[in-house]
Amino acid sequence: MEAELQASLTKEIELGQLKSRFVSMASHEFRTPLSAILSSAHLLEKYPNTEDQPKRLKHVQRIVSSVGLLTDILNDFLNLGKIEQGKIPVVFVEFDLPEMIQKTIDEIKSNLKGTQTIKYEHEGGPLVNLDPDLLQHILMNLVSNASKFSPDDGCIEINTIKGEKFVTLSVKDHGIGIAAADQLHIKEAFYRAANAVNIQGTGLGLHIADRYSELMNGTIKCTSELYKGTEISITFPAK
Amino acid sequence: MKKILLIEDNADIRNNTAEILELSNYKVLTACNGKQGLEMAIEHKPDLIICDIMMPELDGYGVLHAIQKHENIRNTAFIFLTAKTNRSDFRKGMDLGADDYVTKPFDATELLNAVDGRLRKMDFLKNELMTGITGPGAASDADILKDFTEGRNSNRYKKKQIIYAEGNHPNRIYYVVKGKIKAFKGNGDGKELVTELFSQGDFFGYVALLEETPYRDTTEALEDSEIAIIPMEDFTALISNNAGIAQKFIQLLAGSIAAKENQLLALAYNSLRKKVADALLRMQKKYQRTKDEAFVIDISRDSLAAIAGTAKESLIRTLADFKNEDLIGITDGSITILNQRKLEYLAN
Repeated sequence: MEAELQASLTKEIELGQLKSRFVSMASHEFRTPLSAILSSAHLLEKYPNTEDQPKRLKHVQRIVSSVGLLTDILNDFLNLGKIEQGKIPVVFVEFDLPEMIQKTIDEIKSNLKGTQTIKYEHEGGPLVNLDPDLLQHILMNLVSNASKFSPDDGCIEINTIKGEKFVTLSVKDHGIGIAAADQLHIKEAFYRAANAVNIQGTGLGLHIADRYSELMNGTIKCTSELYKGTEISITFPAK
Repeated sequence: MKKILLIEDNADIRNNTAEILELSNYKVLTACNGKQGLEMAIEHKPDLIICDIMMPELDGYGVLHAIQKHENIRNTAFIFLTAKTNRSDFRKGMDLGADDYVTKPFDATELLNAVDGRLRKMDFLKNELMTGITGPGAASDADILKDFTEGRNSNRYKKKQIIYAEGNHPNRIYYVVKGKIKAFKGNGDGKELVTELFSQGDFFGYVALLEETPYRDTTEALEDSEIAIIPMEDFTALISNNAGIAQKFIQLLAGSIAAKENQLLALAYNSLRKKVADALLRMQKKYQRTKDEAFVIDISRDSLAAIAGTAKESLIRTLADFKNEDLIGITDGSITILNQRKLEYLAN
């Protein structure tokens, strides 16, 4: 009985901490897109004439993409809530891994910084038995991180291997890297590495990738060196 | 057109902010990280910098810190534009020397008001400084002082005539056009100690004026002298409008304090021979104009004793000793230094 109480107390405290970390993250991360929306709205007002239509469109576009950014942050947090409550459904199906990865790459290509490129290679047979939605979400989070922490001309390397016992997905960048001390914590929710605090982000992407991997019995491994780059690889058992 | 440097890593915010500023007729330069921003600040010397705090490469605090280390741009107006809204972040920014702190999401009017306010204040300060330091025709401090002292009413004082006495209220400062002046303090029993000597080109009487107290010493002409009189209002105006001149007077004050400390030490601990040798050398240092000029000390034994800080009888006895040792020559009461090196050796 007492052990049970103790456990729910610990859980409650953890949730409380999570909430307060969300509030402080959100209060900061929301401000940038909100600034963009507010300033674009102000500028829209300055262009009352029809010939200014291209400028108007540009600002409407900025407002739309800022709202998208806000929605992403909210969704990340909602997902986190669902994970905590065990409400994420996992549906294992057999699907073509290289095809799905290529499709995802095509989708996220436009969100890369500068002239960044993605290189993709696959080894082994194409069919795997995992949850494609969760895997896609994981991949998007990992690529978004790789892009964010890499130079404008960086190359992001994605590799998938279908082995006899394991399926591996790895995303490698040549960006700012993660210090050894930070590597111990980067999977925690809201955690930001010391060299990343000045770069926008919620500290949720990798955490969610980790939790989703767990749901599919995968384990995440981080290999990184400061200034050299980071490789995140996830190994799933091949059923 | 005023030049504003905008340092912001988020492209949307950077473009929008630049657009808002440009619509208000500012010339806007943009940088996408702190390092680039700092380089551009040094190169383009903007009138004002708007800077984000959280940026890769070099954060906003780092930019402000580095800018203040740069002589040419350290006075640039600096506004933080940031998502960091904690009171402690705000204090940190302001304590580092930012002029303003605008938090995101910001209202365009709010930002424009902050920019306008800072720029107007900078203009105001700049004008003040320009009229103060350079004045008409960009004169140097030395020229200003020359203009300031030339063409003044000057009074002639006969030898031994008092210029001002201890306890008088100051309403002017004095500038020695020609002659020798001593400042001294009496102890009430007719004993006096010379605290300072002035010669051509020296100001005096300013300490009491600055302090706004009655004079603490008496000045007297050591020989026939010509003294320019500068009214208090002119002096106060010069000091308050001109940082360079004010600094010059601060240096004079500091130098005078250091000299007095040395004098105090000498009075307390030096032997009679040392005091007299020192007094002779001080007179020479103060009043010999060029090294080759034949130099005689022809002030009264009373005055010399007061400069040395000793009794007249002791002074006369020591002078006689020096004469016997061929350190000095005495003709008709005037003293000539014969053996400079040995005298210096004695004094040190």
